[in-house]
Parts: sequence; C-alpha cells; structure tokens
Amino acid sequence: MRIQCPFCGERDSSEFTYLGDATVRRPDPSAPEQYFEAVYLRDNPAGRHEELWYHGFGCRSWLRVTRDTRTHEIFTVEMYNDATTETNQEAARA
Amino acid sequence: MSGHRLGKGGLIDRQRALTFQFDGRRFTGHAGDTVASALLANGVQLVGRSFKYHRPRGILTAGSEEPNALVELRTGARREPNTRATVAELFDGLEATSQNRWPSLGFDVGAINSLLSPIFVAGFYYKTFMWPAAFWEKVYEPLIRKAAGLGRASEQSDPDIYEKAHAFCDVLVIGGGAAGLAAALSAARAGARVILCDEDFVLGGRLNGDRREIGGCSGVEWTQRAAAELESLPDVRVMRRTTVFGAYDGNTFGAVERVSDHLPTPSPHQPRQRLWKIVARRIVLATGAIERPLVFGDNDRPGVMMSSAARTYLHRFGVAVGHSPVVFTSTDDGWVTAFDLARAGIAVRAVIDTRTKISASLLSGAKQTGIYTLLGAQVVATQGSHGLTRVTVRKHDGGMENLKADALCMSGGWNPNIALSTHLGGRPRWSDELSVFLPSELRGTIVAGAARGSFTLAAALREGAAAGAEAAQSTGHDAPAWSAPTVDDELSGVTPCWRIADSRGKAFVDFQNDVTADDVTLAAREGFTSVEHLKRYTTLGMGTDQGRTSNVNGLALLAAATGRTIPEVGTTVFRPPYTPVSFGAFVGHHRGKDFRPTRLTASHRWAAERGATFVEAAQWLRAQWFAEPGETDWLQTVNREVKSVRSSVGVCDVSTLGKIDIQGKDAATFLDRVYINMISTLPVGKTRYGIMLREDGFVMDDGTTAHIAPGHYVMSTTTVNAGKVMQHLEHARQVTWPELDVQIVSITEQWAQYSIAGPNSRRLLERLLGGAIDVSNEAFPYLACAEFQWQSMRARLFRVSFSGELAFELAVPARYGDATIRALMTAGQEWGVVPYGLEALGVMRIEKGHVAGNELNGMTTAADLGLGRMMSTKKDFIGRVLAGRPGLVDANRPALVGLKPVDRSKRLFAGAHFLSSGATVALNNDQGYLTSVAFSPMLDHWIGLGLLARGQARVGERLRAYDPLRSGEIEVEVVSPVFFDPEGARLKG
Amino acid sequence: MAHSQIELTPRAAFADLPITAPGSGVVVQERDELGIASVLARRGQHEALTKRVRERFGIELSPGPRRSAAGGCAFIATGPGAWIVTVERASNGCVTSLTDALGDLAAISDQSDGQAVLRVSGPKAREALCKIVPIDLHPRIFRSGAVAATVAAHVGATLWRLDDDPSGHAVFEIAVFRSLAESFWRALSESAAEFGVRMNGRG
Ligand SMILES: [Zn+2]
Repeated sequence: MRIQCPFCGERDSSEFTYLGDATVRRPDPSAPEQYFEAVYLRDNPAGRHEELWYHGFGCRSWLRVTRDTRTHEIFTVEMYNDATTETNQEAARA
Repeated sequence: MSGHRLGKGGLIDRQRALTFQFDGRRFTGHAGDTVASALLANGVQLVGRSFKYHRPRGILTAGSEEPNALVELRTGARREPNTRATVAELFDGLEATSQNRWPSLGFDVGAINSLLSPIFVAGFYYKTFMWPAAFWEKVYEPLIRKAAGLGRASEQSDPDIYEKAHAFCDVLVIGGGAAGLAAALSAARAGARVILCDEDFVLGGRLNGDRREIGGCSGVEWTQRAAAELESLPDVRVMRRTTVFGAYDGNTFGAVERVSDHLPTPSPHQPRQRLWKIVARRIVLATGAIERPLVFGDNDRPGVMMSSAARTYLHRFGVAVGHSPVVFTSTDDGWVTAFDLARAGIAVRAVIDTRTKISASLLSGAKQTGIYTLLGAQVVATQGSHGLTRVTVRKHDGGMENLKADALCMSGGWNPNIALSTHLGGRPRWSDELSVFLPSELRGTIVAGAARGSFTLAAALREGAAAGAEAAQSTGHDAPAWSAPTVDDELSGVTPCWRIADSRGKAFVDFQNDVTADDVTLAAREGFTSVEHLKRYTTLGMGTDQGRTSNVNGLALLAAATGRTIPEVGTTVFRPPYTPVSFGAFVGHHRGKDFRPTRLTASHRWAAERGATFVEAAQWLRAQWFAEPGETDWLQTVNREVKSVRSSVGVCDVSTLGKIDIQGKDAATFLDRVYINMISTLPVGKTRYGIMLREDGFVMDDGTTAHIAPGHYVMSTTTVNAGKVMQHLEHARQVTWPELDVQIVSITEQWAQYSIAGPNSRRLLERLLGGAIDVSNEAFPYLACAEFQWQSMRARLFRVSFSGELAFELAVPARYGDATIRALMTAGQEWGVVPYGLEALGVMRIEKGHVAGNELNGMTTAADLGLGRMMSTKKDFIGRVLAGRPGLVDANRPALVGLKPVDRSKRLFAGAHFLSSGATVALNNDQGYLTSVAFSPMLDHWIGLGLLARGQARVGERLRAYDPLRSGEIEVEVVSPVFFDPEGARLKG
Repeated sequence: MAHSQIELTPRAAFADLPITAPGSGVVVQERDELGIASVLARRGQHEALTKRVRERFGIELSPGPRRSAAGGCAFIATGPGAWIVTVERASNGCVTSLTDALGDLAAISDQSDGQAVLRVSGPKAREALCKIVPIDLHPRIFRSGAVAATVAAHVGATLWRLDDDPSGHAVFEIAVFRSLAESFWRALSESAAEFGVRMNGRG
C-alpha cells in the first residue's frame, strides 16, 4: 500500500504505523463515562474509513487518511494538525 | 535414439558447447539451451517421477508453467530442489538430478503406489490415515513423506548473497512477448519511464517459438530490434530473467531477478538473485497465454507434450521432440505444429483432430504435406514403458487404430495467463465465445494481447501498442501515434474438448499433484462440488505450478460432473508468488548478524576489548557482564560486580535508555498531562521520576525527567519503549493537544551516558572532572541535574540511581563516549572501579524493589506496582479516568511484593505461580506469579519480585511458588519488595 | 593527588569501517566534522522563523522536503516545521550560534553526535542507494536539494541530494543514528560492492 504523505510525498505503508479511527476524540475528563467508548469501542466499517497513521519512518506527522478498508484505495491524506500554517495568535494580537 | 538436434536454426550458440550431467550421465548442450531443451536434444525423455504414483514423467512444456520436469540443480550447499528444467538455463558443468525416485529413475520402488492406486484416490490422506491419531506422527507421516514429496533442500547454509532493490516507473510492462514489446516501445517513444520485465532470458515470448514475420522481418529479428531500441533509451529498463511474482496494493509489484542463476557460481560481489519492489503508475499486463493439455488416458507418458512446446523446441532450440510425432488437437494451432515439424523435415505420423470439420486451408495444408489426418478422432491410450512408443486412436467411425509414435503434441486451446490480475482480488470472468477465463478490470492496469484472450499476433501488437500509448498518456506523456506493424492473421479456431470419453488408463488433469479426471468426478460424487472444496480434497492446482496447466480443465470436468456450466462452478484465484521464489531473495542482506539492524553504544568497542558478554535489548547490544580471568560462571561474575558497586564503585553504560528533548512554552503543562505525577513543580536543576499511563489506565513506561534549563526538559524512557513513547508523545502533541507550544525530539543518540554508582562514585567523578562541576552533596544533591563545560564539550550530569547507591549519570556527546568510558576506568583505578553489566544492574534493582520491563508488562497499574500515591489528584493526565475504574482499583488485584525462599538455599525461578498452602493446583487458585528473580550477593540468597493478589496486605505470609517445569514447588515468604537499604540512606550519601 | 587531566579524543561514527570491495563505482566520505542540530519551530512561529533564517543566514526556506543552503550552513527540512541544520566544520559548536540566532522561535537540540552522516557519490551511487532506500532517485524526480526522511535497510535515515560533482555525477548525503552506523555501513557497502567502493578522507 502507498500513502501520499502531504509532507514527504508518496511512501510505502511500511514507513507508517496505524492507529485506527481518526474521528475519536479524547473525551472531556469531566465526562468519565465517555472514556470507555473512546478507548475501547470501535466500528469496523467495510468501506470508507477515516483513520490515523503515523509517519514514524518519515516526517513524524500524524495523518488523517481516508481509506476503503475493502480495497485499500486511499481517497485523501491530510496532516492531522498542520503546524506550519498555524499563526501565532499572541503575535497576531500584539 | 539420438540426433534430436537439428542441423540448423534456433537461438542457441552452436559454437559454444556446454557439458552437463543429468543423474550422473554426461551430456552436451549449447549456450542458449535450457536443461529441458538440452535433454531433449540428447534424446532424454524421462526426467522424473510423479509426486504420488511415481509414474515416469517427461517434459510437458517449454516454460515456467511446467508441472513435471522438476529437478534438483547443483550440488552441496547450492543444491536447489524443484527447479523447472524448462526454464533453467544451461551452463558449463551444470549438474542436475531427477527427483522423487528410488533407487533410480528407471527403476523406482515407489511406482508400486501406482498399483495401489485405488487407495490413492481423491482424499486419500483423509480416508486412509485417520486412525489412531497417534499413528499420524509416528507412522503415516514419515511413510507419506518417504513415498511422496518433491526434491531435497540443501541442509547447508546458502553461500551466495541476495539483495533487494527498489524501482519506480511510469509504465511497468509485464511480459516481453509481442504485446509487451509493443507496449514498451510505444510508451517509451512517448517519453515515459518504462520497466519491461520478462521471466525468460531471451525476450520475445512466442515470437521465438513460432515462425512469424513482422513488417518484413522475422519475429526474432523484430524482437532484437525492439530490444535494442528500448535499451538505447535512458529512461527504459529492460529486465530479463525477472519474474514479476506478485501484485500488491498501491501499484506495487514484487519481482525476482535471477542475476547469476545461469552461471556456475556468481562472480565476486554479484548477488545470486535480486528482489525488486517496483512501484509503477500504470501497468501493462502482457503475460500471454498458457496452452492447456488434453485429458486422455495415459496422457502423462514421457513424450507427450504441449504442441506449442514442441514448436518452441523446434524453432528456438533447434530440437526435434521426436522423429515420428503425432499431433493431437482440438485447435487450429495444433496444425501449425504439425506443419512446422513437417517443414523441418520431421515425419509427422498423423494429426488427430477431435473436430469433424476444420477450415479448408488446414485441409489443403495437410494434403500438401501429405500428413495422415484423422478428423473427429481421439487418442484414447498411449503405450511405452519409459517413453512413448505407440498411441491408440479411436476414429470417427468408432474403429481403433494403433499408430507408432515417439512424441505426441497435444493442443487443447490457450488459457490467458491471468494469475497477476487476481492477486489483488480481481475475479476472472468466463468468456463463452473463447471458452476461457478473462482478467477483470483493474485499477491502473491495462491487459494486452493473449493475456486478454486476443490470441493472434496482429492483435497482440495492436493492443500492446495501444496499451503502451494509453499508459504513457495517462502519466503525462503525449504519445505520438504509433501504429503496430501489420502481420497476417493466423487461424485461431478452437472447439474445447475437456475430456476424452472412455479412454483407457489414468487421464491426468494436474500432472504435478497426480490428480486424474476420475478423481475430479469422484470428488463431485462425494459432494465436493464447490471449486474450493474440490481443490482441497483432490489437491488439484495446489502444486508449485499453482495449476497453471490444470485449473481450467479441472473446472470443466467438475462442471460436467455436476451438470453446471463453468461460470456456475466458478474459479479459484491465484496468489503470490506467481512462481516459487527462494527464501534468500526475500531475506536479502538481512541474515545472520544482519537479520535486523544492531545498535551499538559508544562504549561497545571498549566493552568488547574488556571481554564483555553482550545481550540484546530491543535492537541494542548491551554488556551483560564483564567476566574476569578465572571466573567460571556468570553468577560468580555478576556477584563480584554487585559487591564491587555496593562496596566501592562501578560504571555501567546506560546510553540505550531513551532520551527525549522537550522544549516550548507549554512543556511543563504537556509533561503534567503525560505523567501521572506533577512535573510543572520541578525546579530547574532537578530531576524527577515519573510514570506514564496509556489512556486505558495501565502503566506504559517510567523514567526520569530533568529540568535542564528553563522550559527545557530531558525525559528518559526505558530502552525497549523509547520508540513507542516518542510516538505516544507525538500523538499527544499533534492529535490530542495541538494548541500546546511544545517541541519534542529524540536525543538518545546524541549522548553517551554512564552511570557511576557506589560509595566512591563521587570521589571518582571529582578525580575525572577535575573541578569542572562541584559534585559535593551540598552543591549537587540527590536528584540534581546540570549541564556544564568539561574540556572542550558541554556535558550533563544527573544524580539519579537505579542501584540504590550514591550514583551519578554522566552524559557526554557520543563521539567522546569511547574516550570517556576509558577515562572513567582510569580515574577509578584507586577505588578498584569495575564495569558492570545489565545483569548486575538487574540484581541491584531487584534488591531495591525497582520495577522494570517484567513488571511494566502492559497489564499493571501504578497502584499494582506500589506507586499509586504518585497519581496526582490535582490535574488531568492520560489514563487518569480509566485508571479509576472499578476493575483497576480492585483491592484483590495482584500487587508488587518481595519474595524470599523459606529454605534460603533454594533457587527461585521467574514465572512460578503462587498458590496458598493446601490449595489444589488449579487455575482458579492462582494468586499471581514471580516476575523477576535474582541471587542477591548482599543477602546471600535468591530473592524475587512478584505480583500477588492483595500482595501489600500479605507481608509475612507463606506461599508455594509452583513451577512444574523447573523447580517443582518452593515455599516462599512474602516480604517488602525493598530488600536492601530500605531507608534509602545510601543513595543520599 | 593532582587532578588527572585526561585528554579525551573524539571518535568518529564511521571510524575503522572496512572496505570489502575496493573500486571506484561508489565513493563515500564520512562527514564527521559536520555540526548538526535539530531545529523545531515553536508553535505559530513558522513564518517568523522563515524570516529570521533569511535575515541571519541568507537562506530561503522553501516548503516541503527541501535542503536550502548558503555559506556552509544548510537547512534540511525533515517534517512540518522541523529541520536538521548542518554547519560545515562546526561540530558541537553549532548549537550555541543557532540558539543565539533562533532560540526564541525554535527549539534547538544538538545532534552533531547523534546523526552519522555519509556522503555517497560516484558513477554508481544511485544504483547502490536504490538497493537500500525505497525512494525514487531518478534525476528528474529527486533533484538537487531534494530531501527524504525515510528508512534505509530497516534503519531510519535522512537522505538529501547535493549539487552534482564536477564530473556530473549525483552526490547524496545520508544521515542515520550513530548507533546504527555499523549496521548501515554493512548494508550500504554490500549494496555498493559490485560497483567497487572508495573511501575519501573525512570532511
Ligand atoms: Zn511524511
């Protein structure tokens, strides 16, 4: 499988580590009842899946990859968090 | 019989004679021969015995689909079994041996299996060897292995080197026949980067085995011109002897290049084989077609071969497969063989065509050449002990005729070679018109020529050229119009004939696995009507050839036996590798000590000079102990190291621990969120032990974090978890809290770090550092840290201790690591400094009750390890919520305790399980287990750490440590996990 | 007793590595004297950092995996907001000057010893590298100044291409973790063996 890393370009999937569902957010610590679901419960869709991949043997970015779990076709790959486009809000305010 | 080599013709070098041996007999062939063509040229028809019945077998094909002619090549360490003689290139001095026969090929005891064949029917393994179960291992399996099976692997280490390589292209063309060459030419002329792979050592495919004209020159000449043009282009790579064996996701292909297989031994530094990983933007699949056998009685007799193979031996190798051949065909193509053989002066005995009507041109051809023609007729039997001597033909009128023949060329039609198209799950679809399976549509792939059922040369050239142009265009190269050269269309009529009814003897479908037509019908009768069941029950198509010549015939027979059509029966798909690939190619450089990369610390050379014994820790090699002359036992060495540290001073390389630089305005906040304890309160110049959890509440790793400069922290991790922690922190930084200003980078490799431990460690450091930093207890107390100038470098010092002794960790830039360890030894001579290894470190940490990998096993909580009070209640951190769930705060959970044998002379073994006295040995009486043990030289007996249910409340209790595999059962006493210096007075000294 | 002032001699990552197949197809040079630091932009300071690097070093940071160099200093982009900076003949000294210039906008960490760098050139450099690096090294694709953080023979590696040498051959540099230098060298030298290997002096 090949993943088009937004920074590095297209690379073999062996450079990446998979983490699963990218839509899961860390729940608010004041809502402990949501943690069980966030940590343990996962859908296993046959088809489009938004998932997290870590380019550990590359730019070390966490990526959001949309992939078809049946065909391994990859539709989109984006930085989970693009540090290079963030503006310094304090600097902007100053 | 001799003189099978014709006087002229073929792509062999008649000036270069090569001698070779087959089963000890010496023969001569030529450069350009395969082992098969050279054997046939020498009149050798019998080359092996079959897998199950030990029937004599000959050469069936001229290609990689060969099921029969498997031989052992070479001898000694280079002996390679199951090599297809039809693709093995001849070299001078080659030694080949037939397989699967004993004592000799001509007389084989195992052939008695043939007489016992009623028990060797479909499913015989299942039916015969069922009971009693114990017999399987002791009796049946050895028996079967001796009687059946293929070649013998060499038991010596492979002396050759193998390597891997990566290639990228716009257009990958698989197959170097007419269609592939046309595709490569048109893509290359358009400016695309092209890779053309062909498994053969000569490009051209069928063009070498047929007598065709393209644009006024011979097919062979055209091939040579095409190859020359391709090889002149800088962005084209032509790879001969290269089999694309697998298609993988993302247009990635595996290919094996047989760099030196055609040489007696590889030249120096030349690999034997090279495994390519090819990434292509577009693929042209031009893998041709494979001719299918006819299924009739004794169709496996040596001398019976594929009609197209006979043509290949004739045209490419200048070999007549027989002096008196017959052609048995259900296709027009079979006639081409007959005419070509006749034109070469070979007396074709007859053409037996299953069809009653054939085209007028074939009839007139037969008349012109005077070939005896039988239409609507079938071969129903063959005779000859080790080679064909006679065939029996049932004529159209039902009468029988015996014909003398020394070769039978059979032509049952062509099956597109679709294997690669199915590797990614593509389902073949049946064409009623062509009676073949065609490849399905594939992303990024264009199929051209015979591989998509276009069996004429004109179509191959036309489709190849179009495919190449389309592939180039879709990768941004505007192809100029390139029209394929015109050729005359040949006749390609076929009337499929799946089985010759009422033929005598065994009619083989799968030659390699000895599966007959009767086996297929029997399986159907027994209810194995699904194609997948048929395959497993009869082993049809499960040989090393993956049923290349047998699958479609098998499906057709199953369809007939169950009254269904072939598409209703379905088909099986192929999986990589297309042809067998040696393990060496997959392993490449990574064998022996290069099996995986090894990480060496800066002190490695020095440690090796000191005679250290090393042990693997993750990828690192760490010194395990440093034996002194006269020490005969590792425990003796380790005891000395521990005592020296505890009584004076020792040095241990701790560079392998992960070190992570953490900076940024929010670094302290970040650390508070990844550690269970508070780091933001840590002043500059101080170090703190920390524990991090996974979000599920279990402990992930531990280590110290030093506040080295304002807003600048250095975190240490365990050696094994360094990479995992880095990934965890990157996840926290990028995914969970992207709003934090924090930068993290691994600096593990930058620093060589040495632990200097023991009551004399301060004196040693003062001597070494010469006042570069004040290391007095007042200036540099327990848990202090500092960066300082030492000679020409910036060094770092940490006052941390894993041994429980007064200890420091000195970090220097790694290039000074070798010099520093030597300087430490010199500086410590006065106090008898010793280097100590991982084992002594382990003993000391167990004596101190410090947890390590055995306790941080992914199933323990901070509370289990006695560290529950570290969990801050004033902040949120990863794992906090789920660490508080009932299952993880259950008082009955196993918790860390110390254990001593009641009989102090007894040895403890890690892994022993705890049972209360009197409890029966049963899983539900399990109380926990010993995680770590060591012989404590300070206490002079074995000690251990363990995880015991409600452990902390059970100090003083006696238990049984149950270890049936080693020690049996030992009575142990539950104690505090801190065995030595429980007040911690030593480390604060 | 007087302080024993022991002279500490540095040891290069690729010191004493054997050449098993001498020849001239692939030329390697150890880059032990290179000063190396990781530079990680602080949050939201990417633009400011770009500007500062332009002012102080005369280097234009281009987006993506590129190497931008001037006056013996090179910024090698290995990730978003992440660079390896190399300074010729600076060794560990480069960290101080980088911190002075950029410390408010980026986290600087010394990697002069952590990264072991080899220069790989010669007529067969590309053929040898393609055996261990899963990167398309075609001259039109991996151009001068291109960078790839990747994996080489199971070893994490950063590869970049410099300007061609005077004879027109491509010149690459490849950085691996110091502890892996020996393993990496065995993989590279085995890959290059069929072409012959020559070791140039350090630089
Ligand atoms: Zn990347």
